[in-house]
Amino acid sequence: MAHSGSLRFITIGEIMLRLTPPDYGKIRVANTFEASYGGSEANIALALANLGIDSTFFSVVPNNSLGKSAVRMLRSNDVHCSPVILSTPEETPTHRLGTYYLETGYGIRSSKVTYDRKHSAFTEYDFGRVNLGKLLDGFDWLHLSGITPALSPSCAQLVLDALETARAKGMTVSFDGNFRSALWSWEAARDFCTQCLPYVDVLLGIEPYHLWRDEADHSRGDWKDGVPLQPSYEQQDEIFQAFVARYPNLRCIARHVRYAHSGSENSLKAYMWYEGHTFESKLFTFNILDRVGGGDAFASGLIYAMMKRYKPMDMVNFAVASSAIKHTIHGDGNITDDAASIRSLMNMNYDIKR
Amino acid sequence: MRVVTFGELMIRLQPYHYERFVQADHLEFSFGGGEANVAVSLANYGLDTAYVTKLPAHAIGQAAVNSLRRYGVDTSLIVRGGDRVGIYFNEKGASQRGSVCIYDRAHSAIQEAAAADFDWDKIFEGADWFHFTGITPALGPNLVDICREACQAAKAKGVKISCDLNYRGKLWTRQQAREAMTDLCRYVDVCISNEEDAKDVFGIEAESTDIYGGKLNHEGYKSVAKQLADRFGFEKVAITLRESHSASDNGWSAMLYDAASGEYCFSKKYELRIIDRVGGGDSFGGGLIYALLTGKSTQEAVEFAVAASALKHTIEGDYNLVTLAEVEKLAGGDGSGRIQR
Repeated sequence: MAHSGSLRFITIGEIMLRLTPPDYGKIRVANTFEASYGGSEANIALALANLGIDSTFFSVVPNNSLGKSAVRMLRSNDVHCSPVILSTPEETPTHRLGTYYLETGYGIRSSKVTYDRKHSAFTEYDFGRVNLGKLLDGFDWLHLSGITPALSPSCAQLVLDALETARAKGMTVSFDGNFRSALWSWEAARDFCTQCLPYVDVLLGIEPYHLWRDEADHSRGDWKDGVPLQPSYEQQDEIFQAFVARYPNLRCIARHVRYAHSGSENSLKAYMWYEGHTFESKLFTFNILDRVGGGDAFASGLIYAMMKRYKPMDMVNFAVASSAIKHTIHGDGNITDDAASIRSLMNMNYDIKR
Repeated sequence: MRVVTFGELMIRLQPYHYERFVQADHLEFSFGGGEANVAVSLANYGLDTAYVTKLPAHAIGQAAVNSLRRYGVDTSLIVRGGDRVGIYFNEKGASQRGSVCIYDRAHSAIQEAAAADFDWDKIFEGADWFHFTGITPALGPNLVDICREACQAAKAKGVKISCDLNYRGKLWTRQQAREAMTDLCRYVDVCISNEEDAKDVFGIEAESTDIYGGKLNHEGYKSVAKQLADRFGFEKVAITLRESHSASDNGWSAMLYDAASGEYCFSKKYELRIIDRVGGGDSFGGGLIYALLTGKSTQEAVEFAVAASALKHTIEGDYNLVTLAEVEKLAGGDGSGRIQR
């Protein structure tokens, strides 16, 4: 199938089995799980493929029916999975697909994730055996997240090596910090992810990174210290400026701001720094069916809009609209397959299309 | 009468409607594990039954505990801690397509348990019977040690010990199994085995029996039971006899050898149409322990255990959710399957 546009996208990360009790149920009394497959990077690959982008996923899964099921789910969404390694028990001794349990919240009751992802095939694989030059050959865009380096030393090295390789090839690199407190400490995450910043073109989210006011004197604090989770335009602009002053390689920085009225109703907007200016999106308010993957849908929306050379205000609005619509879709991934419906949402047009 | 069983309780995830894994977007969520299955059987028959294991404190661990509490098993001795509940994915076979089981049980809380987690003297207070299987020591050298401590504490208190050899080739080698089980079987009074387990674990073979051909050789089973009893001093040896015609149809019977009297009692044979065979052997163990604890004769005991197990094959899930009356009725000869009103 011919894809519209010629840019080729690839992302690297872990895909997991997601087990969710149906109907907002609690695990303690569940007797059925919905079984689906997801992970930040896989969700982005899937969302872009659904929008017609040539999208490829690289990962390691155990060579059993579960690993194959994860791959087949992505393939059914038109994601190219030919680089995915189906590992042997010799390569990944515990030979398991990472798993997570999700209790979907309702109203005042929050969603709850329980990870069961340690010792997964992706974390146990020796990525020293992967020829990254060959893997990334022919691709224009690489996306990575701050989840992968938290998984194992081999995964952390994979991220650094992929960044290096992508720069050598002149690829566009997007990076989402995606801090996960269940996987590593805030300090460890900031230390590592800060190392990645010099390689990044498109930065999604402003944490976990050190952005010292004074590199020589850390006691003077971080530019982000004391800035609220829902900053004003001026506060956000100052931080963006500090980022690009330190890392002139950054072409775009985008972060969404969430207002959680309850577990079932949120508002989202975003700030984006691009071509020397800070832009603020519209505020979208929506009911939530499934909020897992909302941040990934923001990332995929922004990447799509950049690839399609949208105007800056359209870029940031498209990204937030993409995230908003994901919240109404069950499962990890934004399976919306026509950009027009997202653009329509972005223009706040909720009428039935006939 | 109080029974204590010890082992690993796993999450069982199974596609619906005989789907293959790659088709399934829903998985049935239940729990099971050899010794827990035996505990549920015994609690169902009305015995005071406690199950011992280690499970994480999180919601999934709690769901595991609750699955046993639901059927009246005493869960107060379960140690809480560790990271994960082991999982087994069960793709049910039918006819000529065999079932597929994917284990994802490494690094479970019980597998990473330490000897200090369990106070066996306290656990066996007031207990009459202790049951474990060869799956538990297969989880790691720490579990071999823990099982030995449990057996020693049970012996010191005069608690009877039963063990189902249950060899699991995915967990350990034959050599490891032979070493550990040779050690642990010194403490065991009642041994449950099938002919594959006796061969895999101890190299004990029935002459001229082809397990895949589905032919039974009574003399061969007697010889296996006697060899086991002679080697380890078991009071009783039970051998279950499965004839696998297909994944859906099995012949099922057993033999119980009583070393003191030299009696070999064969049960009647049931032709089973299988709903779920996982836990079939465990339901036999549960039935046997109940029968022996309540003073049934050797012949009555093996009939009761096989009848209990035959009924289990008709029940979804690991647990044998039958009543005492249902088992007694079948063991007494009514296998008509008529509606009971």
